[in-house]
Amino acid sequence: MKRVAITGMGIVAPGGSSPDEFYAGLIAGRSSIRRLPTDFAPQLSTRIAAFIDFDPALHFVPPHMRMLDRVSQFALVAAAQAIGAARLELNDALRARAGVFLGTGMGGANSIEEGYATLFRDGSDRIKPFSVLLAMNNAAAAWIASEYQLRGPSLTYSTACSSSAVAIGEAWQRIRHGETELMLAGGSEAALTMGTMKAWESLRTLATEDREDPAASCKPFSRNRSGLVLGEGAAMFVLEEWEHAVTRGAPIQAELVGYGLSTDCEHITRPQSARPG
Amino acid sequence: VGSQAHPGKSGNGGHGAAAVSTFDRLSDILNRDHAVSAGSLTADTTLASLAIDSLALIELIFAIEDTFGISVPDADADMAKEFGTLGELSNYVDNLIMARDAAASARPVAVAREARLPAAE
Repeated sequence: MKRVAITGMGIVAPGGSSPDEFYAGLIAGRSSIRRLPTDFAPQLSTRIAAFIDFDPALHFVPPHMRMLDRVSQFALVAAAQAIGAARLELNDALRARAGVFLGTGMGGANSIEEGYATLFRDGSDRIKPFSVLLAMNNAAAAWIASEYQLRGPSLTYSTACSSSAVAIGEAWQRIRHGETELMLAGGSEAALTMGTMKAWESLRTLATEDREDPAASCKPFSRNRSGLVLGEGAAMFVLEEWEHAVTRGAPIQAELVGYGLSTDCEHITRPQSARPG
Repeated sequence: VGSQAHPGKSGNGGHGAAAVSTFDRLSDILNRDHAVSAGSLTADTTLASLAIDSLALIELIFAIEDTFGISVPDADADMAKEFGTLGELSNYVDNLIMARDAAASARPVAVAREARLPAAE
């Protein structure tokens, strides 16, 4: 069995859009939760979220940008950071087997909702010609693979909250079993749409806003906790076979030593508490 | 490509005393959506030279339909082959605008004539 190193990290998050910035925010205990600045916020009962001030024009030229849902934009920017940090020189032999595993719960939610608004709200059939490319859940992984010409497996996992962890774990398996030396793995989510927010609101799972400090609305493990707060972002990692990383003098950040997968059959929303799920 | 008529932002089809020609409006679309410098375009510029691939072409057709209030038939949507140059594309759009205007003016006249008939006789 091969060992697996993490040699590059990239992140686009409300708390910072580089690993250093994000880490500094965590250490400082900075919350990224705030009132949504989007125009539909007044129509929501719960108006708080962890929203990214993200300008895609800083990263993509317009013709390309219009083909990318926000979820793919996040993922591509995070992937670029990770590959840059890993100081990878991709050659044909490496590219032939390298792949992209990515987790996303809702994929191109913004594009789906925009299409529905055109159809059902505006009563128009003028749906954007790229709607399928924008909305499909596998778009982010496919764009990353295409951008870096990684011709190994490109898979998208959608397993709710565990989507990204599953993508990383499955990528680890591929390297561990010697199928490839290199994988890009992580996840992306960009679902802070009116419809998504309303749906979560309707499930009565969202935290109520802390009137004194909206940033403190998420209170895990606290007696006065009231629910979860939705957010968005992407994180991508370069997973590399250990000897390959060592041989090329890669900046090894960590070793990924284990991964397990099982299904908690207790309930669709409530995790098991008695047995390990 | 939808089959219904799309309300154009204006009926200006570039013919007659039109202030802005079809070619100029096509140049504006290419400038806006495809980062092409409008000043560099001539009637002989080919779409291929602008790196308009099959996907970009689909988007261009969509923008043309919205801008000119026309509907491009599916059979014509493969315009990269049919319309190699901007001049040819411009002529094609002009023809669709004329066909649309002809259809629009023919219909009310026919209705009016029918409506007049009982009174006239």
